[in-house]
Amino acid sequence: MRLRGLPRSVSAFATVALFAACGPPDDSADRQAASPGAREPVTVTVLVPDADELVMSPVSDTPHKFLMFQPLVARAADGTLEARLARRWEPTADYTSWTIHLDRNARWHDGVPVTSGDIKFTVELMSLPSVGYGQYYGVEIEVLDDSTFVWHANKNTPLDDYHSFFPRHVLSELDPDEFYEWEFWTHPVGNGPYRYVRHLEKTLTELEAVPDYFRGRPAIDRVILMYGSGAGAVPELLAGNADVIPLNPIDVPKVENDPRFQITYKSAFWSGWSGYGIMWNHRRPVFSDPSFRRAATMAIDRPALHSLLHLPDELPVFDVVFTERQMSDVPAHLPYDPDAARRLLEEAGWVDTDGNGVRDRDGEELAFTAITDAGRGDRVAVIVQAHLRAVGIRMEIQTLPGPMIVWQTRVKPGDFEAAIFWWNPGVYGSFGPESFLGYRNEDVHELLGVLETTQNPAVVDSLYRELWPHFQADIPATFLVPRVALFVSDRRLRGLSSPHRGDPVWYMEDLWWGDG
Amino acid sequence: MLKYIVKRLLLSVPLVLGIVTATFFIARLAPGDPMDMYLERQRQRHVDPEVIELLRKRYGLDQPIHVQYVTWVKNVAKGDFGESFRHRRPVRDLVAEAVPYTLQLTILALLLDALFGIALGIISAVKQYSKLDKTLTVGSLIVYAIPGFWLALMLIMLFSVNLGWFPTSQTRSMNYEDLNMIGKFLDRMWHLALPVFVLGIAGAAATARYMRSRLLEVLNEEYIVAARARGFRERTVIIKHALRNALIPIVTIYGMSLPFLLGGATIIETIFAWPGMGRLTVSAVSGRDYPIIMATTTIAAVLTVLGNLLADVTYAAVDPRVSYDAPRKR
Repeated sequence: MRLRGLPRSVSAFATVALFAACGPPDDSADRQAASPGAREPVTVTVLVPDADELVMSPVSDTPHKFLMFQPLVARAADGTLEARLARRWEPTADYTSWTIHLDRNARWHDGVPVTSGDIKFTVELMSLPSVGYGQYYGVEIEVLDDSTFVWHANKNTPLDDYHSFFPRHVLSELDPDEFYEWEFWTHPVGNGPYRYVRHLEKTLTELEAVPDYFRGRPAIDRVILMYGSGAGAVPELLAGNADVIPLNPIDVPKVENDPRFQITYKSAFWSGWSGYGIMWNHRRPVFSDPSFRRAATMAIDRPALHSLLHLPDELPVFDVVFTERQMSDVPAHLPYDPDAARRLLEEAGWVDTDGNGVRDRDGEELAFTAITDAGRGDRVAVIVQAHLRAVGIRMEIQTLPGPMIVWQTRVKPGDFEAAIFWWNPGVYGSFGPESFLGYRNEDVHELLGVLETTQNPAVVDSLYRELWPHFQADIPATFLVPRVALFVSDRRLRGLSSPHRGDPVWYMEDLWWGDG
Repeated sequence: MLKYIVKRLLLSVPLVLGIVTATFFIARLAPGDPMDMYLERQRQRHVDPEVIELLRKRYGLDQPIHVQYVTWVKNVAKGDFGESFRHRRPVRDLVAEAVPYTLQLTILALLLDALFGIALGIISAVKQYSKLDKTLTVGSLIVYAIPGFWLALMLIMLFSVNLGWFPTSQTRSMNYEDLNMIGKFLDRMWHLALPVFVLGIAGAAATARYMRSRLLEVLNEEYIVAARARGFRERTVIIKHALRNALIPIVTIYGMSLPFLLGGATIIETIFAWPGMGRLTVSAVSGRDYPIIMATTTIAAVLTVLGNLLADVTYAAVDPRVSYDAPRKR
């Protein structure tokens, strides 16, 4: 929380001293320690790497959005939904519509109440072709009164816990064709816990707690969003310039043993599965054999893979799909057992006849190419390659620039043997009747068909449990690394908890600064 | 000379066109397209396919590639580089915002390069084979060999993280608005110190090597021997007679620095979060932001051609023996 100021000493080295002396007057204070009770102002500085130069990008997940605007609901620490703009919500039996009651105390930062009309206005505005935002597909808002509306979707859908809404009274007269040039995005009037104070070009945006915020004044008084680069994030943290940074797993060793900091994570699961896995193309005869998939899965030391990639120890290793609520309740995964993997392969007739370290059968080598994406995908793939090689499976790696490219150009058209990439086409798209993997299991398809018709959390959980034995038997894909976003923050920033409340920006209003 | 410049400028048109054409097709023919990146930024949530098609149409991505190319060339001829896919803003505006930051960095880096490089080169040449010369020679070779990104990270760790003398990144302090004009100037210099040093020091090492070898050559010329024989002081001989001639190729080298001046330093700008042309280019490449990629490539191509021309013209200007005019008939 220390503001950046004058160098503390001057070097004897002339050049360095010359430039060092150019620092501005030191008006910084030592890191403040304040509890919610002791009202010494508390400022938290968040490094925002590689941000757009708009103060708030209306169509991106920038931190500004989550500090200045509220979604309808948010995740509580246990993963359930809790109120934000919405006070109460009821779905229809088929979950295609939600009746939502807004909190009557919710206010825009200029004091005007947040109404159903603002929600309808936002959905209609964002759906305009000139805006080019595609996530309100099939959504219509029916206003019942100022604080009640019905969210209609063209299919069953979970309650929206992500989108922000914009003030109709401020924006309705503006030209939507100039949406991206609106000054509003640099001086937004939000409805969240923090309001805009100032913006220093290419440097920072300063926000302050809204004193009469309808959910109670946040304990963190000020938030400074500091624009930097991903490459320089850890040095900013170590130098004391930032209190919170998003953390690349590769940087975990630099901070994990530093008592000043804490690492938290946010799960980025959607129902089913999201992360890296080996997606076997079941249309290839070798991969259509469940015993091969089982052997390959047992050949990979997945807990060690998590550790090598510096992922949190408590992240589960699993063989099944599951909901966020079931994250700590997944059934035991296949163990790492290379000997058992070798036995399974031998039973299937795969033997290394020519002594080159690669098994073969009927003159065909047990070899394939896995396509992956540059970034984390190729790092995962290299480790998998070594583990598979140890049991006599040769995996070549072909790297493409990004997960979407892997998906669009190779996996979606079926032009792949195996793929290790960061993409989530959904449980139904992955394992249903139209499975891009070519996976066939009528019982699974039927259960997934039922799953598509409901959003009832209890029913969904139960259906997933029914799916588990099938996944354990078939191992249709080898799940490797779940998708999480890591953050490192000053240890005195209290109130964070993984996996649902690991992102300090999303939950800043519930955090406080603790002593010691 | 004027005829020569005009001829070179005309010849450079097909060259620049060739470079940008190659870049255009290489970028477009790479796997995937910008809408893939758009989908990635939407965190893979369901996106209306109609919106994707609308965006494709808006950016002309629904057209055959040769039509896209012709449209792009026509627009560039009118000074319109299009709209950034990612920022949804005119590329011209983004470039205009980035250029001043890059110029601050690169001009100071070149100054540092020239001041230190030339001074150290002279000292090295004058004190040839002395301990100082050997130290400077080894030192400059080491500095020249150090990768810039590594040096940048080490300096950040030492001077920013451990000693706290310099900022780790950014262009100004958080209290910048509260400073007076001198304070603002000093604050900017303070933020420029590390990136300028990293950018300039490697260049200075190279310049010192050039300067040393060139000055040693000149010092062995007969006219220098003659100047000494006429009793000029050694300082006068070196500064007035030798240095002026030794500087000719150095001046030419700086003439070719034009692309660097505006093109920026991609890695250093990225490490120090310096919002210049280099960083703009890097983020555009990673996000498949074709309009920005094409704009920065075009600017770099034009500046490279102009830089070469400037170097040739400067060479003729500073060395009276060089002439680009047609030789006179005897």
